[in-house]
Parts: sequence; C-alpha cells; structure tokens
Amino acid sequence: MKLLIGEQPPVQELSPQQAQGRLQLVFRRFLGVFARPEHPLALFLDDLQWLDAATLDMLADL
Amino acid sequence: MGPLPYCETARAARRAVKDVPVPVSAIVSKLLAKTAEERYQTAAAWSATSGAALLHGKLSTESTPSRWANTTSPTGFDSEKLYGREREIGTLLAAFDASSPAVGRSWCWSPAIPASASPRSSMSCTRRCAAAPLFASGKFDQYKRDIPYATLAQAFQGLIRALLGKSDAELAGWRDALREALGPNGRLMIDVVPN
Repeated sequence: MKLLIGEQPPVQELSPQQAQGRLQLVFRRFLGVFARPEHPLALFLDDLQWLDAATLDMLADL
Repeated sequence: MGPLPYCETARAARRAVKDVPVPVSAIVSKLLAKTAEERYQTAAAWSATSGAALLHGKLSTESTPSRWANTTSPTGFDSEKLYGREREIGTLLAAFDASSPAVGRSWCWSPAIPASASPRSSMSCTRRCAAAPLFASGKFDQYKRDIPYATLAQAFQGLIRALLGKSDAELAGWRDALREALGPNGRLMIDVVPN
C-alpha cells in the first residue's frame, strides 16, 4: 500500500472503540475504491473455518 | 506439534494396519488421494485395477505398490477447475450482471488454480471485452488466527501487487482514488496491508 499511496501521516489517537469504528469505515471506503460498477471486485476467501474475530467483525460490518 | 498438520493427507493403509496386502494398501491410497486428479478417474479404471489385483491372486506383501496404483487415466482430468461449484459460480456471475449491467454479459469466467495456491483458494478469470474485473483472494490459516486481518491483507496485497504492474497513468488513477477515499486515514490501510 505504501508503494501505491506513499508515506501517510500518523492518524489521530482515539479510544479503542472509536478506533475500531474508524477502521471499519476506512476499510469500507478502501473496498469502495476497488468494487465499482465499471470494475466489480470478487473477493475470494478460503478456509473460513479459521476466520479470526477481527476479520469477522470487519466483514459483518460490510 | 504431533501429526495433526498431516491429517489432511491420507496415510498409507499399511501404516495403520500392518498386514494389509500391498496392492490393497496402494489401491486404498489412490482412492483417498488428496487431489481429484490423483484418484481413479473412472469406475472402470478402479474396477480393472482391483480386479487385476484380485485375479492375480498375489495379495501378498511382495507385490510392488506402483503396479496397482499407477494407472494413468486417459480422461484428461482438468486440474485447473473447481469441481461442484456450478451454483456458486452462477451466483457470482449473477452478482456481476447485477452490479455491472453494461458489461455483465461479456464475462467469461474460468475458475482455476493459481500455481502458488491450494486448489480451492483462488480463481482466475478471463473476459472477452476491454476492462477486467478485479480479483482478490486470501486463505484463512489455522496458525495465523492471532494476526488480525492477515487474510484480508493477503488478498489485497495480491490485488495491489497486480495494480503496481500497470502503466503509470493507470497507477496514478488508483493512487488518486485511494488517497481521496482514505483521506487522512491512509496510514490505517498501510498498517493493514503492509509492503
């Protein structure tokens, strides 16, 4: 990612809960760059039985 | 660590039961082979091999296993394919049709294995018209569950690596779109998707 968008400034400090909410929002926007009508995105995730809790929260939020 | 990591791969019957004749062990191993193309490709191939083993009357430990398990099939199993996923592929195509009506019908999907991944972990796709759909794939791992977002990172690393190979003009388009979308929080996605 750094190669693509370059160095980025540190983000503002937030409480853990707020930080989690911000990360989900930012991930959603990140995904929105790739998943567009002109170039839909297929996200292929294998072996879901080993899903980690953080990713589950992230995907559930979508 | 014990034998757990290897349980996915069938062990030879003879290692479990010492007095199983070699041909039977070889046949069972072939029936239980991990990938479909290593198994008997037709009932006839299995029947011929097993029949030969029995008729031969040599179910002794002296026989060489290869004799009973090395039948190569003429059916030409296509290992580049996902099996039994027609319904899921149909759902995926319908989703593409719905999201992208202008170009939807021109997709040509061919689920396949990339050389670097396990058979089910990814699909490649080709299409007949200009722009390609994007594809990101990741595989969750029992031993990486304590690394948050490891699989999403894997998926998007692959996608971004592919983008980095594009022309400077295209790359600039992606760079602008990402910077605009992420705003002051770009650092968060660099942390999730490093290098």
